[in-house]
Amino acid sequence: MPTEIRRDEVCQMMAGGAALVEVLPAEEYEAEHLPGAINIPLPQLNRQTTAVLPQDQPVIVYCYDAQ
Amino acid sequence: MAGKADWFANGLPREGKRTASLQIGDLLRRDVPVCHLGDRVDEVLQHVQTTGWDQCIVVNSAGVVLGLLRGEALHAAPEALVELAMEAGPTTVRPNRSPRDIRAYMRQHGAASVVVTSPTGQLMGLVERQDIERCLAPAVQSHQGSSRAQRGTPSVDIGYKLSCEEHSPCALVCYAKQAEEAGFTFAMLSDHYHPWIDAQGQSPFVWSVIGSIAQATERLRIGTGVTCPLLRMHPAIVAQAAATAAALLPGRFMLGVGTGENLNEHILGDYWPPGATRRAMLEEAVALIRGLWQGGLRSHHGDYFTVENAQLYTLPEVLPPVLIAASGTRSAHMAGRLGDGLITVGVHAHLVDRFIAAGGAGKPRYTELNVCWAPDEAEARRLAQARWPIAGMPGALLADLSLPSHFAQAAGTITEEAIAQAVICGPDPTRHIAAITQAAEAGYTHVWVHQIGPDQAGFCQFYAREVLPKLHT
Repeated sequence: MPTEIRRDEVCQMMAGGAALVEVLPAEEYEAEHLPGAINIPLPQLNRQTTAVLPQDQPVIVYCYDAQ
Repeated sequence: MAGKADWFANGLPREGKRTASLQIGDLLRRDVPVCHLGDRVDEVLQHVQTTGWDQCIVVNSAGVVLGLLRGEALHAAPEALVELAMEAGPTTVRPNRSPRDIRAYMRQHGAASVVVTSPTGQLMGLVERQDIERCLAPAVQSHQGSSRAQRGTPSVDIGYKLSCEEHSPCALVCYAKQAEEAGFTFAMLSDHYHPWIDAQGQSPFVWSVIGSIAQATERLRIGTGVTCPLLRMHPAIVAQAAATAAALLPGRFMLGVGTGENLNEHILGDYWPPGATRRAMLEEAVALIRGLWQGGLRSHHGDYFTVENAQLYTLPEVLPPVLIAASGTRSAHMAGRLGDGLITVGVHAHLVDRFIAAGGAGKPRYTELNVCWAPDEAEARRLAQARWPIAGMPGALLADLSLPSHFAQAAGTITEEAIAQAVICGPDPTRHIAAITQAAEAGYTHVWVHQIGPDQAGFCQFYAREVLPKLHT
């Protein structure tokens, strides 16, 4: 189930092994992203592209802002 | 979560191409004093004076900025409460704003500083305009510009490379004297166990050479450019070597350190750690070295190094600065955080910015410039390719190949054209001056010039006659 989390929780979950995914276009990711994030642009988010993500750890997904 | 806009607006770490550019949050002064609405002004003033600041930021219990207390307001009504004396609602900016934009705003409003907060108003620190100006200003004006010539103030020091890979120890001592006489203000010695390629032919023990140079010169500042206090040399030994060098060269020795190359560091059979490990080792090594320089009996049981009951008995009156070498942004960040200065090879404005952002503002930035002076440019290009092909090699090869023969193989793929792109070749002084000016404009305060090949006398005469006077007038 998706749950909204705060900045400090991101750091804690990353330290605990969570995966971090930016779903913005590749050029935006390349310009600037959160440390340790991988990039799966939203239109490419599917079973195949998400196969690289851990099955036993939380996955944090973010875009530009909360809108 | 609120997304990456919120993350960056809070000044949190970031990765990617854009991280090379400076943000206002990189220039934060976080030690600005704070006070609260119910504090008395005279008590706040007393506190502010002990911190060396001339202002105080008023915050609530959640750290949200409410006002500023500065100037007259700090002195006018000593018994008043801050709430009545403060300037309410100061302009604040987010840490991910561009320094250029904020400078323009500050210039327009005559502001000497600006408060930086998170998007929800919590105080993060204060940025002073002088820090922004220093960061954005080139170290010298363009050589063609008039303002620098009118001021007559050289703001970039020109040094000389004593290339231990290419010259015998006796020659290096002779060249150091020659460089001093030519007008170079400092010289940097490389520290190798092997030359990069057999054709370079030498590799004396740098600390012995420094001892001889100390006796042969009077003014020239001397530094290691750079030594690796991690594997081949234990940091406790480097601490002793550098303390002795600084005792022999009072006030004119600099310890330049870096994470090393496999070429030199593999010889004792140690595992060659990856860059991140070597950076962590260097951080520990620098702390260990500085600890030993404090004198007294010292022990250290760290992640990488152990020292038991060690005391340096020969300590200089003036401790040397520790300059940290960087080839990437991570090491530049570490250099800004830990070092007394930065060292790079070549001109990299983004490394200078990173160094400044991490705490290096106001500290010297050194870089090495490869040149090959010869009366004929074609001859200079041939010589540069034969003697210094590593100028055209990618950084990863430089760190990880282990033998001169490996470098010779890799050098076979480097064309003369590629070398000529990386090395200023030939006798045209305007090209040498332009390269030094470019480094200064990128923010370097010290440039040392490496003349590739045997003709060091011809190079020194050329610089003394054609280059240094034009940079110093």
